[in-house]
Amino acid sequence: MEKIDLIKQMAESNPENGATWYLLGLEYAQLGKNNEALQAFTEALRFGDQTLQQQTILELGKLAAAKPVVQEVAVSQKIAKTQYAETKAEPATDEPAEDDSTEPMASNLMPFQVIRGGQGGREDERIQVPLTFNDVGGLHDVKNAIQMKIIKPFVSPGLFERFKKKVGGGILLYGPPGCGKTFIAKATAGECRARFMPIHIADILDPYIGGSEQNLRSLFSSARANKPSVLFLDEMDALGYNRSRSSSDTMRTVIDTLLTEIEGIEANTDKMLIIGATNMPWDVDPAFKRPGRFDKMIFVSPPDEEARKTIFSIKLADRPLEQIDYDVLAKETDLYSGADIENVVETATEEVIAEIMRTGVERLIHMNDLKQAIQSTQPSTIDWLRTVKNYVKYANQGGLYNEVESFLSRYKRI
Amino acid sequence: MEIEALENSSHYRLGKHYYDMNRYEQAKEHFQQALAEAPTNTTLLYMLSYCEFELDNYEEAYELIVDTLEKGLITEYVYQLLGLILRAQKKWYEAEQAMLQALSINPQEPGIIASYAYLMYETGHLKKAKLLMDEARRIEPENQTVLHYQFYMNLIDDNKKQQRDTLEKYIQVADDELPKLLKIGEEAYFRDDYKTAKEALVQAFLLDPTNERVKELLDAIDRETHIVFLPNRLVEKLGGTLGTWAISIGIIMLLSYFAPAALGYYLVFIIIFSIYTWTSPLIYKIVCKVRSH
Repeated sequence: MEKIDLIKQMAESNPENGATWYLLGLEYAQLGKNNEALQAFTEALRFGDQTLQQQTILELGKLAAAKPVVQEVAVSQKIAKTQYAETKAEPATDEPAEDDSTEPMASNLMPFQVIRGGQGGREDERIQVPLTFNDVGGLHDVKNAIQMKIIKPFVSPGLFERFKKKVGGGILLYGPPGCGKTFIAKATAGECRARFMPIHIADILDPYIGGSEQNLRSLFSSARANKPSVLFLDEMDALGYNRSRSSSDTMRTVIDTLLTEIEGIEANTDKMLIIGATNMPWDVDPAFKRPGRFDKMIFVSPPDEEARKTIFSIKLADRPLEQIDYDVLAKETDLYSGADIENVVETATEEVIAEIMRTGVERLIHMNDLKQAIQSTQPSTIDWLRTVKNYVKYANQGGLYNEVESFLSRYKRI
Repeated sequence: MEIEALENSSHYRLGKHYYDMNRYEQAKEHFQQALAEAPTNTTLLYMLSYCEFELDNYEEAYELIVDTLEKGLITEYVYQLLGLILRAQKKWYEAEQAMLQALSINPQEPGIIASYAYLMYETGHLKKAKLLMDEARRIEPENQTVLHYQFYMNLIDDNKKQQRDTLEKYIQVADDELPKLLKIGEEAYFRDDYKTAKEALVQAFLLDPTNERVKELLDAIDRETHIVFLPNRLVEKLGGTLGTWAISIGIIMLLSYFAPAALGYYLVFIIIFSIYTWTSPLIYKIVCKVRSH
């Protein structure tokens, strides 16, 4: 029996032994069977301890450096998240290794970034051309706050180092749903020229005791191994639910682990940022809002006029249009979220298509169609703003929500 | 096999996560998708029914719980939920039948006995309710559900001493801060200690600004303590409308005897005062509207 068969048999008989999977991966890698090696390393990541995970990540890096195969990414997306650097790699096929040896490796290629988790469908988010603040219309206050708080210390740390100001730490973005918190986080990563690594509660939850904590640790160790990186914790209220309201002991340990990991970033690592986003900041455990974790809370308001104009022009691009006055549309959609504007555009388009089907006469989308769609819809942010208005009224002693208060003071109708 | 599939379903895991967080709207969405993967799973049906119940969709909750029973999950807790749904629908007789079914399966479950006691209390069977509650307390004096119902029964009875005792015990055993703070606020509110009530309710509001009950009580405190209602509070202190009129008549008689010249001024004052106390709710509304702008 060959060595590889023996290890394979060991792995099959005890699939929860991470070390066996790691050895199997090494054997496959030596034989040039990259697909199999990738799968074995992924299992090693799942079942291995922290040291083994680090080693596995290094091996995966070597694997990628030896053979940058884009197709492998797709094959393994169910079990492992992989990503190349933002610059597009040359698509290659799973051909014999000698092809690679003749071609020097492109210098702009970076090793595999492996993140464990179950959201196969979310792969697209990680293989996009990086966004920057130029792609975010309006919201100047938010952008300025982020620039000052994290981008400048991240990109040019000299001044901050002189004043012993730490680089890193986290910010918590909060605001009504559909107003671009995720988009801003992506743009922040783009501005920092760092990897954007989103984490959702679904990536963490595991049916087995201790599994969720292990998933969380793996995600953070992957982010550490791939700095500079921006770790984006979506739905922070679900990930870090207020422990004084939770009766679940399982979730408490997950929150404790998350707090420890975030502390770890602050203490041990630079060039790693953490951004949280939530629609319900009041549900986030207060421990996360203390200095050293999420140092600053930034209110992402509904898009301002300039942002709405940009959103309209993006959403209406490539559609058959007559002359459209984007300024008027932006003026008439005060408090509309990005998602609401998309809904307006869709509603208007549907109406036009329905009319064409009814009359048989084809026509373009008019300004009036959009105006009618605006009249038939309501901004979805109002409910959220009303809730937060009460919150500001009764429970803003700490001044945590002063930004919201000043935003609300401009709107009489809420 | 189906249970294993359910455990591995990401929708179930997410749904359960939100369910444990009392976020029933989000839990419902995920459970519905998990139900598509395991359509006959009774645990899932039960939890979905509970979500609908918490979201006040009683018809849907009822259909789901009946489906749970039909598919073979017959436990005291399923019948208890059925009873609670029927109680919310004001189908008192059917609710009692469901509670009795639950107790026939497990007559020693204090939470069910307490919810049955509260049903009896609501329907006016006070003696029976008290006996049932005593029994629930005897079985488990520190049960959270028992103390919850006991607190509201004491609150309605206006039994202040027992209210405080129950509240103290409830605070010791409950794991969620929100209902604790809400109960502290309610207890203080109903003994007119608005300062304590407001402190507790503001803390509760910090935890959940979407809670309607907390908002309602805070608004009520705002109203009760507002300067606009100062004359109305004075009327209350003087023994209500009747007391105030009696005192006014007394003053009129005294004035007409000792200082007839001041009588006219006093009558004008009384008329203005009366009109003001009648129209003060309207004035309060206007003041609130102006202030919010």
